[in-house]
Amino acid sequence: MKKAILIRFLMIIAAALVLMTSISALFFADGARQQAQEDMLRLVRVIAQQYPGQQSDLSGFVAQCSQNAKGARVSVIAPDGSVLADSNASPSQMDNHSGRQEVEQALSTGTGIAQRTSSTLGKGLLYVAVRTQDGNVLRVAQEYDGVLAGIARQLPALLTAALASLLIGIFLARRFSAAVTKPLTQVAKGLDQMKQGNYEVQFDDVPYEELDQIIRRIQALAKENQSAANKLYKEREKVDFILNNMEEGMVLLDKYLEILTVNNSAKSFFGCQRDVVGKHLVHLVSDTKIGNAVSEALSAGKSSLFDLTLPDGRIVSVHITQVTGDFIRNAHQNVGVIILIIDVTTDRKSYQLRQDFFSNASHELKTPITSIQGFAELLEAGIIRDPAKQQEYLSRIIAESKRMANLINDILMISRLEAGIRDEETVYVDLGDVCREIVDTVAPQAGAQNIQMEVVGSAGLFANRDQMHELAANLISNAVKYNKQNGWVKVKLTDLPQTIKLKVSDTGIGIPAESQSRIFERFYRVDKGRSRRIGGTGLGLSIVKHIVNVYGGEITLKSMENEGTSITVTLPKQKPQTIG
Amino acid sequence: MGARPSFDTELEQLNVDLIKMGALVEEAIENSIAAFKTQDEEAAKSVIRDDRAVDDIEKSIEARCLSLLLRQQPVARDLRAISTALKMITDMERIGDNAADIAELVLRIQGEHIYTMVEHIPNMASKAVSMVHDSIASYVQNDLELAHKTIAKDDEVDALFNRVKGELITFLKSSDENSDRAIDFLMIAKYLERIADHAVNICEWVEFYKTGEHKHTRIL
Repeated sequence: MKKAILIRFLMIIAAALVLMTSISALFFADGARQQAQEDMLRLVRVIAQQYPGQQSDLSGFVAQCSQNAKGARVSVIAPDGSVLADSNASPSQMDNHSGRQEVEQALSTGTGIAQRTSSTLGKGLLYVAVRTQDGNVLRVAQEYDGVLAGIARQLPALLTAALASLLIGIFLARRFSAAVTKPLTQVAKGLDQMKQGNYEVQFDDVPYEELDQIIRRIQALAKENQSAANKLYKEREKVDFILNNMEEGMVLLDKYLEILTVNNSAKSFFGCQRDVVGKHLVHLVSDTKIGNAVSEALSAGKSSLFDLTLPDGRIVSVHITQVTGDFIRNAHQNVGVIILIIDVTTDRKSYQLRQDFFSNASHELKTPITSIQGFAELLEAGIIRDPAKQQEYLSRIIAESKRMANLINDILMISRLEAGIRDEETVYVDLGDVCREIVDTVAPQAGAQNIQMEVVGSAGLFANRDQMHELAANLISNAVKYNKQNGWVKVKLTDLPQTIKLKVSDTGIGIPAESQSRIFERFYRVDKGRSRRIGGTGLGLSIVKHIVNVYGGEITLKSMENEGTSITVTLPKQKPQTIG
Repeated sequence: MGARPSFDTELEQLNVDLIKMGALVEEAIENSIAAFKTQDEEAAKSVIRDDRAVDDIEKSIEARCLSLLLRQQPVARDLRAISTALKMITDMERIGDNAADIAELVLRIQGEHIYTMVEHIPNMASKAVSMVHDSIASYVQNDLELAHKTIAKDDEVDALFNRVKGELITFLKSSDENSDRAIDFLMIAKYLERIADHAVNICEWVEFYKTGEHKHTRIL
């Protein structure tokens, strides 16, 4: 554009110069010719005044005049056309001049001017003639090259002027075109920056109204673009955020099982750290069950849902569904598959736990019922006649019923605790009193094995008294039940600023290391036979754990097989309002 | 360069097949050991049946490799990639066979397990499975470091095998009634140890693929 402006500008300058030069040259030349004619007319008049008359020495006169007039040709011609005298040629050799234009004019009007090539000298000459008093014609001729020669003489000056104006023209044209195009270059630069994502480009003020409008429109467009880009960016951020922060794993595949989208959860489920977008599904997960289900979903559109155990032990529920959409268009087929992976470990485990609980509970309840039924049938049949035996059976029936009642109480308690049912009544409980009470209750049992018991310290908290009693009773009776002959049980209470600590230690049989993580499970017993013999339900520690949970406390276990166990319960003094 | 994209796609398809075959043999090992743990005859039989699938995929990979060699005539790295794949599938196929062999032994074993074995053998199996998985992953991901790590893991499996052997010897000395079962256990352990060795072989081929050296000998 700059170049185009420059070229056009120069063309205009050149044309103007040429036109101007030629017109002025013509005017010049014309002026010069008139000047020459007038000069010669004046000269010829001066000579005419000195004209001595026909009788005198005309030859000497014309020679003298020619010399005075810088070599101009001077001739005297008679009215009949015969040349009387000539400064340059002999009159006798010259032909009759009567037909000459200037002579004719001079004879008729007094003066005559003509311009032609002289036949005598063979040069372009300007002739000026006047009529003298005696009727002869005095003619002066001077070499004259015509208009073109005049121009030629002016040419150097004209050309110098033209060149100078051309140079100035180029210089100005350059600056001018640069000034015109500079804002355009700036606009182009600004657009480049916008292309690179910088929408905040500021343009300098431009001197042209039209350009200013363009710039304003560009800025408006940029603003629109920017807000659209921002919107898009935010939307994408949102989608990415949702995808990467949801716990469920999600994978989107095209029909060639190429991964289009995969979120962090899905990658972490399958233990994949690499970037697998654009790769085949097997790079993410090579499990054949998933592979087959995906193929089936693609070919038959069949959705599937199954559980999968991951190498790290987690159980996930995998949902596989065929999807269609332009987004997954690949080779003109917009069919794909979405895989959703949901962690159901806790669900399945708690389901398993519930299943176990039901089967265990019914099993545990069945055992006493069977013996009660057996003994009762024996007594009913009247086979047993020995009163002592009868007495024994009856007491066994009672014992088993009690065990059953205990068991049902425990189960009820545990299910209430699990359901989160709160015992409203919260009072200040002196745990020391509670423990001493319990120690008194189990004293006969302990005495039978000569077990020493002591309660050290005291502590109190706001809690439900029954629950605290249950907690302490379970711990202390366990310590007694699973103790050895001549052992001891120590209950230590510590009152801390925010919490209280209850530590029950014994010198019992201890808990084997591999069972320690399981003893809080419902119905778990280290040694089934022994526990049943002692009369345990297998729910005691589970209840303890639940109560501790309800109060937001902690329970720790330390045990060495054959050396003893110590269980420490830490409870906050103030029961939290929310119950977990 | 015109042939290049299609060669790359075919190579990727080869990788996919290798991962699939790996998944199949891993599953075979896992299922055979699960059958061993639960003494589930049906599960054991299905492992033996499914070994055919491993053989099938081996054949298809073999065909793919040969056709690639023939049609593309690869050189240097590409040639090594395909020859490595060819060597790898042989080892993988052997792993599948070993898993089927374990399943066959499961069918033979009757009566209660020897207590300690129940713990060691699944332990060995899970180590072997992870070795197989990593060896194939090291090929697909071009990960020489992973290959080296996997080779190092073989020592753990060997140590476990020796422990099993030692315990079985003590067991045999203490009782004479279960001697045939003890031999079966030893064989299962040996198969698992072989599986780990095959995984090491695969890793050594991955090393060759990356460096052109197999067991420190320049081949290509």
